[in-house]
Amino acid sequence: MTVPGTTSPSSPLLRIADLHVDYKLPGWRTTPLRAVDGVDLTLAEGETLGVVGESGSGKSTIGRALLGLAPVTSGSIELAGHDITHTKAGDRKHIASDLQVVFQDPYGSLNPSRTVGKTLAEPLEAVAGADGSTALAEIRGLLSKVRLPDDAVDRYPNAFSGGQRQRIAIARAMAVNPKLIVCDEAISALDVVTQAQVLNLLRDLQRDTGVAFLFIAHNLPVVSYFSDRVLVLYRGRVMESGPAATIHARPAHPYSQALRAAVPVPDVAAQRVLRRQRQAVVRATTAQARPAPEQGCPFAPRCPHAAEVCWTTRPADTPFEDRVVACHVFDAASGHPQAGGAPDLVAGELAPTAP
Amino acid sequence: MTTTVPTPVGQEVGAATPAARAARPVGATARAVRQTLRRPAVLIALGWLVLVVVTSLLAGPLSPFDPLAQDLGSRLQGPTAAHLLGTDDLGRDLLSRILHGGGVLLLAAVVPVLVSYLLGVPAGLLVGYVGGKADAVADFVVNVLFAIPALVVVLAVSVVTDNNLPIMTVVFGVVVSGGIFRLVRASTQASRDLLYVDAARVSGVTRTTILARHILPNVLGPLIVQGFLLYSGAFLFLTSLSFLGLGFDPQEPSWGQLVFDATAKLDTDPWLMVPIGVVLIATVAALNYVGNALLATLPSSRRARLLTPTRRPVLPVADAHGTGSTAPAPLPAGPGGDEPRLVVEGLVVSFRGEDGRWQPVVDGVSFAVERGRTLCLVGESGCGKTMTALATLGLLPEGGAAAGSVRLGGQELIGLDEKAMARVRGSRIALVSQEPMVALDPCFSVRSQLGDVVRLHRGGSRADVRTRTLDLLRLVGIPNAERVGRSFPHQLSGGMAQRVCIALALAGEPDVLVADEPTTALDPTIQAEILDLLRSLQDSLGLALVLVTHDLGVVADIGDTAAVMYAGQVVELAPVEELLAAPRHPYSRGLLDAMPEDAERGVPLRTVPGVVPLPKDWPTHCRFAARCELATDACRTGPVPIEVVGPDHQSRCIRTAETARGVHPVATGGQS
Ligand SMILES: Nc1ncnc2c1ncn2[C@@H]1O[C@H](COP(=O)(O)OP(=O)(O)OP(=O)(O)O)[C@@H](O)[C@H]1O
Ligand code: SF4
Ligand code: SF4
Ligand SMILES: [Mg+2]
Repeated sequence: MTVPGTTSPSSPLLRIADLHVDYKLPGWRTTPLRAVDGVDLTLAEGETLGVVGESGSGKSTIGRALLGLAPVTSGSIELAGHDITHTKAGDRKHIASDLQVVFQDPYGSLNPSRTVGKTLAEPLEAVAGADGSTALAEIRGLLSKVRLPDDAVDRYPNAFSGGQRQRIAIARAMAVNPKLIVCDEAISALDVVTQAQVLNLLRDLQRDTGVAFLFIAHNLPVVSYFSDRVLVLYRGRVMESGPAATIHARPAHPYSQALRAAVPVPDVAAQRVLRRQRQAVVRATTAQARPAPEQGCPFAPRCPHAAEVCWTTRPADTPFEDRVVACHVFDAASGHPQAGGAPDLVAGELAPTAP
Repeated sequence: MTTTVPTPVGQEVGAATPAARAARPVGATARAVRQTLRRPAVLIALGWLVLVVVTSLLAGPLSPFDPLAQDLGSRLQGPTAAHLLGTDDLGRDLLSRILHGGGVLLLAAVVPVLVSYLLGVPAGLLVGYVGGKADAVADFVVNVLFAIPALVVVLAVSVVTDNNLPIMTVVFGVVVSGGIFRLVRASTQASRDLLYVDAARVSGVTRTTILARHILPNVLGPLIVQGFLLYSGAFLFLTSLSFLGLGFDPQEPSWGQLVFDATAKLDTDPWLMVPIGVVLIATVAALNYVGNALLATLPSSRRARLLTPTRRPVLPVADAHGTGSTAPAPLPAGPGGDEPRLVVEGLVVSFRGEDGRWQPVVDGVSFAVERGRTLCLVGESGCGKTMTALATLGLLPEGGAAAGSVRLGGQELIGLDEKAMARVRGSRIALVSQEPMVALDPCFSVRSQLGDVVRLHRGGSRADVRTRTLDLLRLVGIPNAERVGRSFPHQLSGGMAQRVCIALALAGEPDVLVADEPTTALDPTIQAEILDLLRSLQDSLGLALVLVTHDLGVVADIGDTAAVMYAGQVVELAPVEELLAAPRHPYSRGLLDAMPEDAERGVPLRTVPGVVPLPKDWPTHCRFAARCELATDACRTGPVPIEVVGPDHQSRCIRTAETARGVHPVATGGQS
């Protein structure tokens, strides 16, 4: 699936097609859990693609499948023209120079008993076969790139704050000059100030090196601020995709609207309005919602516009303005009673359906 | 890799926290081991073991007699000047025989330990890391090994090999290697999914390197302890063999044999048993004692001790005023002149450093919360928000002490002893913490954990407790209370777990709820639901709420008053609407600027450069000066007091008058 309105180069850096990932659950003959359910995406060189969704929506799993850390059930992953769908983490030497990762937890992602220098040397040795002294020079360069002092080399992670550790993790990812970095909630565990500092740093690095980011997070305003295009994910499926600016300003899919309204803004009056909006765009809290239908739209239990067809038929990916939306309201042929009401829905003026 | 990003002027982003210079972090286990080794009883046991080993090594020079030399003239003597411990029925010197009889046992017991390490460690590492089929096969083999009675096998081997001790010990090692294997496998499985292991895999680091570098070090501590326990088991086992006359040369003395000899003469010459009995019992007891003491240092057994409350130290008067740089600002009087529900005045929290000096981390904080209102504590990590919150509940971590005043409905809480504080906590003031999953005990169902707290606060029959438990679950917006009540914490989603934690906090019907980042670990959608819940509880129960957060959006959503904290102090205290519309302190402005909500795409976020200083680096002048774009020399001359700048509005900045007129730093490339 290509997103209309965005340039789609002939051979993108990353192409994921119809990706399915099932996790085997513990126990005898349990049905596996489908974490990713038919996701397509492409990512050009130097581009940032944001993936946003709530916990359990499968956004981390997409990243982990790409990194060889989660098993791919079906579908394909193609990086810089090579099929890496089933390349296990152990055989990834040649991929590692193109693909790196920054994880969410700045405390868990650095080995506490190894110095920063040793941590940064690891990818250099593994990928480039660098030896001690050449690595050291490179490491100093890396540290200055992420604006940490030279003498950080000999310190242990416990001497650094959360934001500084995240800089170290970014330096480790940048060490081999990758083409793509997966940022799995790389800023979600940081406070606002540190988060802004790290976002600015990532942006500077991208400007200087042309690295592309798969930027995974749960906060829609942050993702759309930082990304060129955005993918909104719910229960392993893409609900809406398109340019970040429009999704931020006028989210179309009812779920995107709910996500957008959930993040409070630092302005009392505006927040009061937003809170009322939010209470209007979700029908039930997550605690009260019925289980999602096997067939049909996964958001139906919480959607104020849910109708009969939403419980039985999976919505088709429908182009709308400059994006693609998977919702029956946007699909004139879906048989949804409000089909064709898309402009009203986007404007927030579509009345809820009867529960 | 030669491009360097120009560092914007005046930005010290890189200044690493000067803490712990190049010091290798001492793991919790290493620290616990060191503490254990300082206990007198452990020292005595170790001392005995060292004595045994050294005397066995020096048995030759130390022995007064040849242990085999018979002297039929002095048979079965008790202790004499010549034979300090007496002689046996062939007139051999008992002391010499004991000195010579330990070494071979002590040495032979090393073999099984080595064998099980050699087998168990590599197999455990590999199987733990790879998992899957290998795991199933290995599990079968180990189960078979565990089913084999070691003694029977070793006896059989002894018969087949004609009493060959090396073979017998090796076989014994193989049979007991299952324990080491299981230990290593479990630790490896636990480390396998650590993020830094994933990061190494993504970097293309080979499997062997990952195992040696990132996983084995985590296993090492438990492995050493387990090896010690294994050694003491092997020692006892071999002593029993030698008692049975197996494996050891009957001509040479060994402790088991000495016991055997003494047993034969127990009726007529009981003394024979005394020296060897004492030595053997002392050695085995010392081995076991040290082994168990080491075992208690492992993290799994340390957890239990967290449950015992720690004694809270009292801050010496000299340190109770913090840096004393600031007199508490006058508190806004409540409506009608009554004192507000919760009043915090001049609160100082200090921790005792390694040099014994008290280091304040919260330094003279004052605020008040009315019934039904919310006060938000705002600031970056490391500003003392959590310590302030915990101090109001008397829940400071070990080594921390509070001074100043915390008054709850007029009652002073600082200085209450733990028993009195425990009565207040829960029934009048309660805590909701950031990590709901950590706050819940994984071993008990929601219903039983909640029931315990209800019983503690209200008592009542089982049916009463049950009804109240379900009511509480419904109160926090859980519709299917029955089913959720039966589930265990790991079966709950993060949002559901936080609802349960709020129910736990409400069980004692407190007047004040302290919530430390209750929504930070949650998704925005769930966060919004939890904030809705807190707001509705406040309306229906009239709770006063103290909420810690770094997100000004959350403040806008739920706060009435906000106290912005920086480096242990309140730098701005204001009604939320005023704070967000017209912040008076440059730090509050910086927090607002860091929010990406309305930021323009592609333009760097304007934010505060640098990091919060550590408490030991707090300057005596304005603590924000190093990061403040408005700082002038006047800011660096002395402590800055907090000043009243409007009704209910205070700010700790000498340029506050200018900030009111909208003098805000122009965007000087507020990058990173
Ligand atoms: N190793 C695993 N075994 C079984 N289930 C898993 C495993 N890892 C993830 N899951 C499940 O897969 C689903 C998607 O998980 P994923 O981590 O991708 O979500 P997410 O959107 O990143 O959420 P979060 O914000 O919590 O990280 C969830 O239901 C999760 O519980
Ligand atoms: S398909 Fe139906 S349930 Fe799903 S988002 Fe659209 S209207 Fe709502
Ligand atoms: S006192 Fe000076 S340095 Fe401190 S916040 Fe105010 S202007 Fe900045
Ligand atoms: Mg995730």
